[in-house]
Amino acid sequence: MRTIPFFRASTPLTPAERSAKRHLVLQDTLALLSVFAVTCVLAVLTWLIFRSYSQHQSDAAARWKRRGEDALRHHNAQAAVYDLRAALGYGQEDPSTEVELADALAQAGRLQEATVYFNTLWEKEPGKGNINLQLARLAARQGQTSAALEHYHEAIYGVWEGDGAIRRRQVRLELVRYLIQQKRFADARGELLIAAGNDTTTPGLLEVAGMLAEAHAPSDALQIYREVAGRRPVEPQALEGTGQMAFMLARYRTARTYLDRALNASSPAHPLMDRALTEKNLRIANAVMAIYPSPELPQRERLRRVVRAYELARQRYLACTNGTAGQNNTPQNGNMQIQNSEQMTALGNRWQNARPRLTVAALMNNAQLEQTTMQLVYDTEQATAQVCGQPTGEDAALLRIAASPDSIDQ
Amino acid sequence: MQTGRMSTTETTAESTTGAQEGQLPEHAVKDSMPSVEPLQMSQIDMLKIAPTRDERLFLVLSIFIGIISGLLVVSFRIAINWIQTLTLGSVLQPGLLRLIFVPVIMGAVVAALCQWFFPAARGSGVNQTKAALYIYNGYISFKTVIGKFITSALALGGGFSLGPEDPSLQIGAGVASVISRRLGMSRQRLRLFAPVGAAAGLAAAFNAPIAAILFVIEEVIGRWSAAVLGSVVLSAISSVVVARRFWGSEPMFQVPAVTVTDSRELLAYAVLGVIGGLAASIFSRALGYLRPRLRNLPRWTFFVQTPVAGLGVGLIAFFGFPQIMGPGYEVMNQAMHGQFLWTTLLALALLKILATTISFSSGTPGGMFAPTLFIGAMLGASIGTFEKMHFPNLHITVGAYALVGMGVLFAAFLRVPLTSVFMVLEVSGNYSIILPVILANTIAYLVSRSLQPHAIFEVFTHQDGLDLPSMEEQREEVVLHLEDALRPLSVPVIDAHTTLKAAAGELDATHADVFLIRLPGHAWYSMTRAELGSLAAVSAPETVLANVLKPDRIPLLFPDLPLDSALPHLARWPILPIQNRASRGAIEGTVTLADVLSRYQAT
Repeated sequence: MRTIPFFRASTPLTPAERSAKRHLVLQDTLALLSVFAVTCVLAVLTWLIFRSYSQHQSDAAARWKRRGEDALRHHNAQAAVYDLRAALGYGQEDPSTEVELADALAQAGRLQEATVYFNTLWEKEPGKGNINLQLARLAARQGQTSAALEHYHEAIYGVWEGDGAIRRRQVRLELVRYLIQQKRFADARGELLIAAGNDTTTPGLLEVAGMLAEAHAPSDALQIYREVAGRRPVEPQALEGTGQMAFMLARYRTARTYLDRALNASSPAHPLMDRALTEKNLRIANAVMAIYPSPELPQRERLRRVVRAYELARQRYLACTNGTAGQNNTPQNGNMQIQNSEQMTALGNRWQNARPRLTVAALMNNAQLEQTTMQLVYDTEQATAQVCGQPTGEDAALLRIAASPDSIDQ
Repeated sequence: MQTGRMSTTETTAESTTGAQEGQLPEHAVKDSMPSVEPLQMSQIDMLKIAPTRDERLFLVLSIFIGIISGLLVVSFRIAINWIQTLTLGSVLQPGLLRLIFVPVIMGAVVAALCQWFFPAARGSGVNQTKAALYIYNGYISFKTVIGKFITSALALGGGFSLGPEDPSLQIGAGVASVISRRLGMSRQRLRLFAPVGAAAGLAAAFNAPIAAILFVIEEVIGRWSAAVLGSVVLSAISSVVVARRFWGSEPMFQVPAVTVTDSRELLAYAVLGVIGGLAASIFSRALGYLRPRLRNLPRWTFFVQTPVAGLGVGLIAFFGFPQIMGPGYEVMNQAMHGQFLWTTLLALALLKILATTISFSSGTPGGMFAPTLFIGAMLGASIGTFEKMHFPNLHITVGAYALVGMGVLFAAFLRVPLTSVFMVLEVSGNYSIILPVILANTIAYLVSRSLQPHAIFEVFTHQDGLDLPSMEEQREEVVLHLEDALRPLSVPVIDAHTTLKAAAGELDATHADVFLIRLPGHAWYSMTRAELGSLAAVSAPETVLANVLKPDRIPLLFPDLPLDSALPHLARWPILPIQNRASRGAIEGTVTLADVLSRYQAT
């Protein structure tokens, strides 16, 4: 290998020049060595200083972060903002601290700052679930429904660390609460049905069923409650939910069964969600079932109930037309009054054409009569409820049956 | 061994710049002068015994200079942060009394140090380095390096609205100067070491080697110089490697990738360019106005000016804007992460201009880079946040706006357009931002130039009574070319095979005093009547011209060459044919010495 000489002389050197050259080589070598030594010493010193500095920085960052988190826990958001900003000043680009700071800004009511900050974090990680959730909350607080819904959905389908499935479900349920608040019940129902499929544990299904009830989807809620109620050990809240949903859907037979079971199954260790309501609805369901001429009853008993309902309705009509049942105090507009008046006139005609006295025997001889009688009963209870106010006692039970006569036995 | 390359006429950078910075008397700057030794011509011819020694040592030392500068800049940055933590505390909150007291006390200490011990440490450091290169043979004393380190760290740590980059640049240049002197380099090399060290210092401070190299070329050297480029690159790379060993290789600012999907977004960046150009002009005029007035005050006021500037900065911080204190890199980062409202960002930009103007004009040691970046970042983020609020359909990224804003101010205020583009790319590590950066920077640069003809460092140079070259001046210069002095061919053109007698006849017929001779191979020769006469006197009349011509030929000259490229040849040739680049041998016209001189006089 050919080496390039460091000092190249083009002409032969004299002895004095050779000596000077040797001297120069020695001098330069020593100078370079001394520069190297200085560099090494300086490097060691800088490293020691830097290590101490870095340690201090990370300690300070951790300390300020703790302070910020404490402040957040104690709902002192303003202090948390300062503390977390200080922590970020010490620690480089700590995503969790950044999110906490944005959260603190939001909690401190600095919504614009928080939104801008979260937007910037979002730009860095648009798929991050937590950032989208915070943006959704901020948008919801600022009345920006479409932005809120967009971010809620991005949060649901976004990236979560660790407990992803649980967090996604929590976000979905939060979205449902927002949708219910916005009265977007159909959307809420759709989200809840997905949530029901994602978590089939008893508590999870009970939560979803409860929210379905709030989202005006009692039928779906009933289905889920019923499924849970069939599990062992029996969950009183599932029984109660099934009964309440059945009651809401006018399925009084089912309601009576489940509400009764719920009351029996409940204990201090397993209390009901609303015992008083359960007891009240059970009483109503019993009353309805006591008067309802169910097709499943023996014929004589059923017809006897038809006769009883007929008499009750007739008395209710007479009381209402004679003014003894009291007038409905609810303010009504002119059109409504005319309509009610026409309805009562038509009802009066039907009662005039009806038999003055109905018997079981007459009903047994005329199958069509049972049906027309019950229709007259239902129409009477509904019309008198509008004109003379809500009935009580057995009339109230008949009115409930009139609302949905085919579902009572379901 | 003293190589005897340093002249007795050498003075020091500190003696003059120090005096200019602080109007110091001679005794005050005496300490910063080097030991001037009488010229000792070496008994040994260095070129004979070690002809390439300087060149090779230059390269080797560039690496050492880079490493040492990198280490010193790392220590410098740590020192600033430590002092800030110790004096101002961990969190800057408005309303704290120490926000007022600390800058005042630190200002008093710094002023005393600068007046009594380190007079050359005042100011930014860029012009001092430039003066060292062009006036003082690259001399920067070790005392200046120490002084710059200590006083700048105290000032920046104490909250003055200045940056660490320019001092880092001077520290690097000082390190280079000290090392090169110890190695007994030639005067020419000594001079070149200053920009080498400057690039190393700046590269370590910015973690941006390309921007540092370009800045040193654009601002410190003031012209492209091949002699120093290799060493500048080596030192800058070495220092950045060292700095990254400590701070990590992550870019200084991290912003998401920028995708310009809608051309209207470029319009928004253009608006940023216009506003940045205006802001740079305001900033530049404020400094140009206040600095000379403060410098012309009596000398005793120099002890007071820095503390008073500290009081001003402290009051701004106390009454709600502590973010303007110090270099402000954390605040820039916060702005990029959208932590401020656009109104707050705008207020911060304006107050930073005020705080930096009073800090720098008072002669406090510290640089202009960080404040420039700060103002740009705040303006950019402010415009970005505003547009994001009011034009939600545009996919605006606040961080990208802040970053472009930095480049805009850098280009418009410091007048280093090329550096500004690479600086933004390097500090963000984000190439996707290049289109908005180039657009906005160019607009800002043009707006600023139209409002303020001189770059800020040039203004400072003139205020200091110096006259140093700058690339901005070169950009302003009208470069003349040969085509500007070109005349149509009006002299006879004679073939080389013509006889002397025929040539004389041709000259007589045209009454010309000079003529051109066309030679084979597209070569040309010009001759005067006198030269022809002298040839005719010693040769037969039938002698062919080609046989008696001297061996030299007119060099090839083209219309686009600089006008001065003709001057070296006009002593030999009475007239120069200017040839066409596309058609060899074809003449576009001619120039004479009188043509060249009259063209220069016309400008």
